[in-house]
Amino acid sequence: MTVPAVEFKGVSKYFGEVRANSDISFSVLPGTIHAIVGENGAGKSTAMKILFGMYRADSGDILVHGKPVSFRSPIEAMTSRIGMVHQHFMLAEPFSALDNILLQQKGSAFSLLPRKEQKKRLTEIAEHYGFVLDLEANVEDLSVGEQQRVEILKILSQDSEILILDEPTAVLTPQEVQDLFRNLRHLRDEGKTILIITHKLKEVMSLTDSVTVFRAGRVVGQKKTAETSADDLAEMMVGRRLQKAQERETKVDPNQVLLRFDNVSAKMGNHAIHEIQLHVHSKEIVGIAGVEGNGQDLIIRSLLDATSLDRNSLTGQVSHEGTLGAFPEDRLRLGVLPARPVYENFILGQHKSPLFSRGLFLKGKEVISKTQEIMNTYDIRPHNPLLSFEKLSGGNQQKLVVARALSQKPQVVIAAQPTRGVDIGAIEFIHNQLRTARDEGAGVLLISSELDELMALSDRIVVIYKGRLVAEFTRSQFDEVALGKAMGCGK
Amino acid sequence: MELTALFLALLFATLRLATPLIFAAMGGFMSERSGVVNVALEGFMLSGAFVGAVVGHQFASAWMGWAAALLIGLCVGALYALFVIELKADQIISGMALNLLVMGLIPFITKILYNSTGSTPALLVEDRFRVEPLVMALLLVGVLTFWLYKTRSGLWLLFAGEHPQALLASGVSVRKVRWAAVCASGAFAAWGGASLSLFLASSYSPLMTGGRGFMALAALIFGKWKPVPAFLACLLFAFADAMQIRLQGVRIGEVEIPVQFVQILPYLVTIIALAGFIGKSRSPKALGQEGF
Repeated sequence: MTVPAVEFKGVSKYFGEVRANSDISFSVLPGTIHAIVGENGAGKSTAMKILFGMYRADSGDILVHGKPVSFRSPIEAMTSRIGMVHQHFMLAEPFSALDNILLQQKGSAFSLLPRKEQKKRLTEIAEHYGFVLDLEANVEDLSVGEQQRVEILKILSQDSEILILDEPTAVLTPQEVQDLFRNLRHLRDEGKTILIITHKLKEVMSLTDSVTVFRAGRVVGQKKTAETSADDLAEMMVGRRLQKAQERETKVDPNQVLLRFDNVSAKMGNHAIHEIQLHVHSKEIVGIAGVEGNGQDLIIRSLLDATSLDRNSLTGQVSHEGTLGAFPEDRLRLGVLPARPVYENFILGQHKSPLFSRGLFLKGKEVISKTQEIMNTYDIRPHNPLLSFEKLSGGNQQKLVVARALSQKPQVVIAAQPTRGVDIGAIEFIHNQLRTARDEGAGVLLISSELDELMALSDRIVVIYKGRLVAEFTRSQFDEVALGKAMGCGK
Repeated sequence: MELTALFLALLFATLRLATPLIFAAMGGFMSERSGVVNVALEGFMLSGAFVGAVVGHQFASAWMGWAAALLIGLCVGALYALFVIELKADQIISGMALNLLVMGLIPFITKILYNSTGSTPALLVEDRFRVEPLVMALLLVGVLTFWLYKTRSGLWLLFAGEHPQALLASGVSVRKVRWAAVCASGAFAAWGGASLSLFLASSYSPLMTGGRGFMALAALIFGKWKPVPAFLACLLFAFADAMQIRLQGVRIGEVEIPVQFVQILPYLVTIIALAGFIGKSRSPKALGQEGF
């Protein structure tokens, strides 16, 4: 019997009253890829942060290669050859990849940086594991996938044997995901042990050897990947069967165009869109697929916020019928006031409507009761409109933003990355809301980098690449490979 | 021939006048690159100018004044660091408070020491610096540039201001890096002040920095928080200053331009430079971020 590379034995962790981990036990064999899956808030990140020394367990033991460990800091974990790639990269953008890696290495303060030797050494490591990477490039000029490689190389350069990756595919394009998986398999074949936190079950199935499922702070199952299925895992994660997406019963109304982009071009800084031609009809969901930064935000801005574009750069016609409901892609930065209570966030944008205000004053009682009502119908937990917005979990924050946009029954809905960073339960909910809006006659423009989401919801998908719409697929033509290709190289 | 002489005179005047700005800008560079906003440069400079002048006069030696300026610079730098790093006070407000503190303390001390309202007795002309501070300022720019881009602690400074979390994750204390940087900032800026009272003039006179601390901050921003471009920006502002001195008393036809208008010039250049180009300048990302 081989000794597990990592073993959790009855680990518990409390944050005040909240039980983030209770009695967690599982083990990972050396030289395997192991998935930790679970919804947001299920405690999977907490468990990994305990392993990596960022938190300390309140009780229980962690064994690494059979020896009990208790790291007081990530530095200690790293000396024991454990490395972690965080979801938000620890890279400084204006500096080169090489400098970002060199920062990790110890040395006296006034010693010269051994750039030349280290570049040689790192290039050797990268080549050994089949990485392609320009070490001299500044991080800001690297794609997200390349930045992730810098992070992995950082860990490898310290001879780490155990790699922890937190949601590594959340920000990658389909092509980059393939590259990452190839690299990870290569690392496993070289004997490294890899733990990957994720909630994308398809990836679990295609990449990993074994999987541990978390739910509400507990381990609810450990399986060999070969002996389970995505449906089983989803059921374990959520604790109930997910509804199958039904085929739609209503039809697109081709005679009623609700949103038009006619030959629209615009510029903002280095980004531009060219000759965008797109119509969204009543009862239709049109998906825009594309790697982030290919001009999606400019399309939205040309409709919602034309003044933020470069002066006089907007040409062509943008128009829409009826009311507009939109949720921005970066909700925390653009859509809400995180420190203010939920009810204030709920009426943002509608705060002048006679429903919520009288002259200069808000109708406090009405606002709160309306918010309460919405929180009940949309099941936004905890059902407390007085709580500050940032206290809600990511999924519930997004649900509120969606509810705010859709509760007014707008004719045109702009949904940008509507399910980024939210868990399966909330995704299901948000998707159903969008379907309902569509069936009630709205035209929906869905901007997403998740192919699964686009293919599940859209009636039509157009692909944006370098500011141009380069391909269009109708529902019967949906094909992951063709879509991925169009997103990655415009053809 | 006369034109060449005029040009050389103007060039040398520019370099001389740039000296305090360069020191102060390098001081600002240390602090801001480490992530600590520094509007206290003016106060650092004043304290250096004053203590430098007092000690220089006492020992009849500019070098003694220079050393004293270094010490007082480290002290006020440490005081500022204590407030903004340890006590996490607002950086702008503490910086301004420190300026006001120094402006208030100096007349108080001169009253006790010399029974005057702010000036110190003058150094003998032969005890004054001739060119040494200028040479040191130029050297400082070179040394800082080399240190920043070639050494490990240079990298630490860059990361402290750009991505302190990453620095922390690599096991280096962001707090210590910032402490060191802010103390160095105090020392450099104090030397900037001392080069006013020991090099450009021979004594301390009330508020003799005349906003040069802020001008140095402007030069730093104009120079994109990099040593060499900031140095060049200092030269630009100093050139405006030299022109200003040159233009005093110049007549246009029958009318003499009032000296107050001429004296606006360097400040005007500063404002124009910042208003015109600040959009292209990118500050260190973690500038003003506390809690490490």
